[in-house]
Amino acid sequence: MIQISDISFRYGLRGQQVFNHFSLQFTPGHIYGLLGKNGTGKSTLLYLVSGLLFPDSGSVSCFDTDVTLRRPEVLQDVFLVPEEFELPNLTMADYVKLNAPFYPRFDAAILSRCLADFELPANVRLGSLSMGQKKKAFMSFALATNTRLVLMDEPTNGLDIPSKSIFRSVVARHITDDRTLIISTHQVRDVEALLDHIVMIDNDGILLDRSVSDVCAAVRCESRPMGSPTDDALYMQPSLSGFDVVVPNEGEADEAPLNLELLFCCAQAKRLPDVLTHPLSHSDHNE
Amino acid sequence: MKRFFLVLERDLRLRRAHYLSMAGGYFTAEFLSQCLAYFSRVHSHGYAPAMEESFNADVAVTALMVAGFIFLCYNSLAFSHLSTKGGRQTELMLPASSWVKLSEVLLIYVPVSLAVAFLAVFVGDALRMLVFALWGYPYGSAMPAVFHHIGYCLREATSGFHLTGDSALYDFLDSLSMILFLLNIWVSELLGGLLFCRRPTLYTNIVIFGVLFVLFVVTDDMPGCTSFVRSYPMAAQSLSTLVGALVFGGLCWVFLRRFRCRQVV
Repeated sequence: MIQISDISFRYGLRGQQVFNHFSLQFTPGHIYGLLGKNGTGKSTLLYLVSGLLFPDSGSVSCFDTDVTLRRPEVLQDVFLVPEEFELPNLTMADYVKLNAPFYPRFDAAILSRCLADFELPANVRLGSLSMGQKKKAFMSFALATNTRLVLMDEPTNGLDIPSKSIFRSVVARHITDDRTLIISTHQVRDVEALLDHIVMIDNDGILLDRSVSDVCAAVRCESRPMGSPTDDALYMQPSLSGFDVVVPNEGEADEAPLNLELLFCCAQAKRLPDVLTHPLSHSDHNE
Repeated sequence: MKRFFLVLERDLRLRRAHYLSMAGGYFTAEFLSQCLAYFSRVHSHGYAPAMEESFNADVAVTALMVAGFIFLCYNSLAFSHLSTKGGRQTELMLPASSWVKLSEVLLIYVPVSLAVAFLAVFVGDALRMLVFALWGYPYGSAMPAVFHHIGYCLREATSGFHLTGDSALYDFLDSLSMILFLLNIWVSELLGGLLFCRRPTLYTNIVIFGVLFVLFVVTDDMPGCTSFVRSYPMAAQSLSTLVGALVFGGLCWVFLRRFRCRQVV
């Protein structure tokens, strides 16, 4: 569905090179977590996928169309929720009246449900909302558009603690099998229960591009008390009770919960097993 | 077409305050400039009904020049909704083609803006007559003179090549070149609105002024330029027109490309 092929990108003529011969693929029906350190290009990647930035070389296609053409048929199936955005000083009803006709599958019932879940009035005035409330209103609209691709950049930034939990339930309810959600975030704990595919990037390229089930089949994240053996650990870091470790999954049937923070540090330290780090083929993606 | 009207409706609603303030600017400027023009004549010549016709002719030129100047300046603001990152994100992600978005903006900033400018001249004239009548100076309408000047400009603009002076500067201002000159300034204003995110009107007009200044200096001081114009008037006229046309075509190309390839940064 989204094919990023051998792209290079830098901001300006003398800016830092963000991507250098970078390739990646996103397939339909998944909730992707896009993780990486500051400055590795997570937001830039979302902008490149949505056609808001053009690669210096290589191509980005979405639904088999070059995104830089900004065709309305593609744009009506893509919705971006940036980290910072502007909303006009309109009521939600007016906002919907002006913007919903651009999205053929817009569903007002979904909007009402999402707003109710986020405890926002149905006809709220957007200009009077706080940043977090604006984000909730905008994400509700994004989900109601029913676009096949939704891109969210740091969606939980600015949300209060109960709203983060509501966000997870709202997203889980409205992302159907024909829709794809890509979440770029640093707040991994806010979204780790949602994700079914993880993409980790750094300045050199892709650190990890695997489904959560593949990751869980390959490694386990465990907490071990002080004094326990850690010689089997691929990666370990001290915790209050002892150590948090990433160890190879030696065929244990029960999947331990994934600790994305720990896994990210393990990937950063290049300690992931080879089975997780070799590039995925086209057929792997389709599976 | 349906998408075009959706974009138009959305734009008119979201930028309503911007468009209303623009229209307010036209009406205020026209009213005040006409009042000022009549007042300066009354101040220097006294009230003289016999001079009404010549006053009206002068004021009509002032009214048209003010309207034209404001029209060009407002064109620098045509893309002010793209001046912030958030604005660009919203507009560029809107599911409509670049051509629809561009033509919608041009519709508002060219024919509609010109119509508002003309209406402002008319309303300004009517208000000015009322105010001056209350002061005891019952000057008539300047609108016949305005129409006369518009007709004169249109006739001149379509009368083809003709040599009007004996220097390169005068040739540059010949009728066809004059149209290209104005078109170049108009496209430069639109392009400036896309290029300069902050204060597009100010920066655009500084750049235009700089380019014109260099152009005038170069064409006036270029060795052999004036003698070439005197010796080969038609060739000089054709050359200046050709250069103007090439500059216009180039600016249009840059403008369209710049709009089509506008990115979020």
